[in-house]
Amino acid sequence: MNTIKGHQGDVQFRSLKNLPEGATKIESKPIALREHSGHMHVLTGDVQHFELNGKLYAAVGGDGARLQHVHESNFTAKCWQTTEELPVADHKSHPLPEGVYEFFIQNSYNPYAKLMEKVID
Amino acid sequence: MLTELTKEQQQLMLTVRDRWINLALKDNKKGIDKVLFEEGITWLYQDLLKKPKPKIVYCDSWIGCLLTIAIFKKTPKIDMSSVWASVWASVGASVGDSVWASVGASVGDSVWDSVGDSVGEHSAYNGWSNFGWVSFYDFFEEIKVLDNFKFKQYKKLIKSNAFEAYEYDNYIFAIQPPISIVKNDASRLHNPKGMAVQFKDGSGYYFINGRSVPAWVFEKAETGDITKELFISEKNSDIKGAIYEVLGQVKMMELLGAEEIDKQSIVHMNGDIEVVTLLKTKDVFAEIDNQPFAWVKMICPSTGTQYLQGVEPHHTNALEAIASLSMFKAEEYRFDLRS
Repeated sequence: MNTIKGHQGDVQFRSLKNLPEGATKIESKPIALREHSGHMHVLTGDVQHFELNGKLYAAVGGDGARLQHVHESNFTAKCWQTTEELPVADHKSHPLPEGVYEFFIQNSYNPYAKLMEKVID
Repeated sequence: MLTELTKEQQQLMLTVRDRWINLALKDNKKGIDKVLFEEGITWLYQDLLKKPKPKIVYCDSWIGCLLTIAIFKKTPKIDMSSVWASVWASVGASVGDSVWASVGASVGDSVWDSVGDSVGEHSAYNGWSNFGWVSFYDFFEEIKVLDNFKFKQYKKLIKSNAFEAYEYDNYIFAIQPPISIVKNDASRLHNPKGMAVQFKDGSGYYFINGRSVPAWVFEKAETGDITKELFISEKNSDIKGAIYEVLGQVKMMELLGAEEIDKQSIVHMNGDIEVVTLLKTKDVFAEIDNQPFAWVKMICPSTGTQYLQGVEPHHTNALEAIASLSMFKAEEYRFDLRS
């Protein structure tokens, strides 16, 4: 399978051949949650979430998953299992086929902090 | 002697930590559990200190509480002697002794690491600043290492979720928790759009990336009174950094002026064409190592909104600049899926 590369708002992702060694399974959680706007990027469906060194990974099963951008008020615990599109906040959803994915939140250079900080949208 | 935690105990440690974090950050809008608080105060004064139960004054904010106390102190015939030192001497010392007698230092350290960073340091008052040490010993109570009646009673009082309390012989002033707390991904207090901590009465505090920021930065940003001259003449780099965050990239670029350095078109794998532009200020600024400010401009394919993101000033190529903000190299910066 060719590498899939995607960009939804400030979240970027790509498919990987395998989960990196040492990745730890974690409870489902938003890939990014913006407290200002209440918007969040969530991967729902047949998916297990993993974390390694602060990076998020996901293993999508045969039933597929969907990367969604939703308002937290439209999201309940039941939504984690669905591959149906939830009410879109700003960015349309992307169905993701079975595979392993790595996620990244786009940075912004802050000359004062002199470090790369995650974008606050 | 407990020398190692089981996997179940390690998981429970995180559960206990999150329970206390959520009490502050999710249950804050419920306010103080007055039944729990008043039960705790009755125990504290009557049983522990052998004093009459004090009158309880609930305050909507920290500043409101301090003002109320100041008024009380100016009122003749009100005894405002503090009782805190005797409470700590009675509860804190005995709890610590019983846990450390049963637990190896390495276990204690690992538990403390899991709660201390997230909850904060304790102070000498009843309130959120005690969540750190109380959650630490709460874990040892959960795994049956600690069984201390005074701690159980004291924990109830802390769990009532008073943000802070000032305790005197005859009065207790309890501050309701803030109704709004905004943090960044690093869990630092951070809100470029307003107060990061706000109380019910509207008072609150401004923070950017965990740094306290004076209100004038937000007030002047709101009224459009931050000028290039004001920005340049500001000596405090924390405040300049806050202005940079509060105004946002677009206003900062408008404020300082910028020229186009490079523009490139990216043809994405799905056929989308994205134009990215690299911009820099003509001026250089001493506090950022005599460098210009630099941005890369892009357009969101979903909303059509134009975005500016800060980039390192050494860039001369717009594609390399935008790729530097991502997990991809410039030659890989082509997407199959975009929204």
